[in-house]
Amino acid sequence: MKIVIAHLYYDLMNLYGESGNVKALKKYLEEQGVKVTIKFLSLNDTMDFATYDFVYIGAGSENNRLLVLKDLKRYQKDIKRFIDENKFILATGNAHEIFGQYIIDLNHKKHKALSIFDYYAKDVDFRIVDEVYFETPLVKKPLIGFQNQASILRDNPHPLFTVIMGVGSYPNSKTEGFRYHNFYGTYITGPLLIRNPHFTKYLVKTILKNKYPDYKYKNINKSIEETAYRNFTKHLLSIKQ
Amino acid sequence: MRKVIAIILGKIAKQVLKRRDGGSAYPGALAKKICPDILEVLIRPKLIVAVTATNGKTSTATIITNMLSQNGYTVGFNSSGTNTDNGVITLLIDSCNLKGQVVKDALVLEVDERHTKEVFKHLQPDYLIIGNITRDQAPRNGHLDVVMTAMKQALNDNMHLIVNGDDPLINKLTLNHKGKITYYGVSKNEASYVKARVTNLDIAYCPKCHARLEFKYFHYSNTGDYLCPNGDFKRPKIDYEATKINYRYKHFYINDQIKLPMQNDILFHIYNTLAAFTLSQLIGLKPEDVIASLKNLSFSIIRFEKLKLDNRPCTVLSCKNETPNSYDQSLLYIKRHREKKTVVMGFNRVCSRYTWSDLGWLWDADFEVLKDSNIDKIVCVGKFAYDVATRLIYAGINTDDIIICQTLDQAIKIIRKKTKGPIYAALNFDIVRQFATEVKEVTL
Repeated sequence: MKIVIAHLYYDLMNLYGESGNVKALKKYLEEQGVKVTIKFLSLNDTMDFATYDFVYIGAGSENNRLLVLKDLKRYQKDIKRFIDENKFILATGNAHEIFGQYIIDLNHKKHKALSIFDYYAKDVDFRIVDEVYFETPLVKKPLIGFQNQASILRDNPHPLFTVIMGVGSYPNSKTEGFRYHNFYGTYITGPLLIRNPHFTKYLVKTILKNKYPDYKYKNINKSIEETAYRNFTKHLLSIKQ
Repeated sequence: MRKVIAIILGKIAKQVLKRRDGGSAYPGALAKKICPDILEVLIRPKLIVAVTATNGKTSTATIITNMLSQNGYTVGFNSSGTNTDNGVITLLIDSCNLKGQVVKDALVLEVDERHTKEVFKHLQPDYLIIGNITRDQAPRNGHLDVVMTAMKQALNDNMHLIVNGDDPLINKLTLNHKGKITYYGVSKNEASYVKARVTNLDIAYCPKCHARLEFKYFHYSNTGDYLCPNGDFKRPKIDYEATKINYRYKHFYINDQIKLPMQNDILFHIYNTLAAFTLSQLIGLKPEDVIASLKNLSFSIIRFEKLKLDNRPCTVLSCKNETPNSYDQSLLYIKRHREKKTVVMGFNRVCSRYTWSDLGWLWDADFEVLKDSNIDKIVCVGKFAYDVATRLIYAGINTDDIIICQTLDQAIKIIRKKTKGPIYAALNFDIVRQFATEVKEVTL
């Protein structure tokens, strides 16, 4: 089994330890006996979406996000096809804004985005910073993490999460994230695939089943990661009270 | 009249608080409330030096204060770590007479990066030292664009900047500065490396043409010798460069000519000393007098302590959570000491300023350094020990070489019974003192 991961704009969209996500995915896949190749790609690089199985983009500054949007427009059609072919994209932090209709910056300027999904994003003159405890029907336990952004997402038809704790897509929203086929977008920043081993297991199973229908998941001991998750959940619930 | 009342009440508040908890920002806040333009109406001394950086503000300002004092200056310094505008007002109130005349020859101000804007609006330094700019406390700062935008508004062309020329972000920040700039830096040495260790550099592209920057070598993170392939941006010509660094005998040279002592063998200490030395040459001190003051440096660096546990050397390195470079410094220090060793890491609180526990920064720090650092065991301690252990496993440390403990007490017992070699404790500020105290108690 072979999986090619493209880590896009690794050197521009990397504010909060996002490199952990690709490391986690690689490790989990290798433990299943998969040969993993990671392509680190950025501004002006040639991209060949037909050869990737999984694409990752992390959170960046508001400026870098717009720079990346401009660069990625070259591949709008390829990305749309990639998603329609059920291939995987994980876009964390403000990276998932790039795939919507447009982004409105603080000067009210409208930047046309990749226009693959219906939602749009708008920059705000404050930062949304909070712990995250989000639920999704895809896995049994909620996800932990952090959000740290200066923008909000609106008109989102397919949220990925229900907010238990945290701000969500915009202040007082009850939902967060976006899912369509195998596109997963969320404002959760940082190493969410490290901190949520149950979600990473789900992703790895789905990726491999998708490409290799006969594949059977091998159980791997993740007790250290799982204890970290459990301890943090306890900590979160204790500060909530 | 308001000014006098503000000064008197500020001084009283300072005296009262001194008995309780040392200096604070409160006297300054009080004085500002009574007299909002207090920073403008006070009469300045002949020299004001401000120091800002993500790491090393206090150490640099302490070295400078010490250097000036030993060379005949009377000096006021906001040494209690109150590096916001109110902290600076507290210092001024404490240093002035009732007419509002600062009675010291010089003021040394340690200023938080994002507070430079507020402080300098009213009280502009003659010299501003910028030591480094790096990721720090993301929940508070957002990201570096936010910090740099604030700092940019603080600069003006009348300030003489003294900056670390190895840091491309500082170069980016000062690109449009029309006033004087003097650069200090560290030359390539045995600890420099040529291939980037991490993929998440704070600046990877030329700020002018967006071409990918090329690095000839690194000292840590994105600090080193860099250039834009189109010639739009590069490490500036360094005026005061640390050369022939000798960590073993603890000295280095300035431009191969003047030999300076190092109080310890930490790279950051070289940068801090260099900044102070550069200032000394700009204000006309003699190198030999500066060297004498560096030899008499009478302060203990809060981030570094050498102890013994039983008969084993135990080096205590305080690290700042949420500032990956602060960990990188400690990790590279550990790697530089080649003997078989034991490492202790951990914390109970991510940050003392807020209740959020953001752990993303763990993945921005270069724990991979430990993989080839000749380690016997790594002991992870504290409330987040499993998160630290997870990070270490990903850094390539063998699971069998990681021991997880909940408390410091338990960790020290395990270190004594189950580990070998000198001990390096890279602990966050929240538990580092307690660790040092317990080690001292056990050994006595």
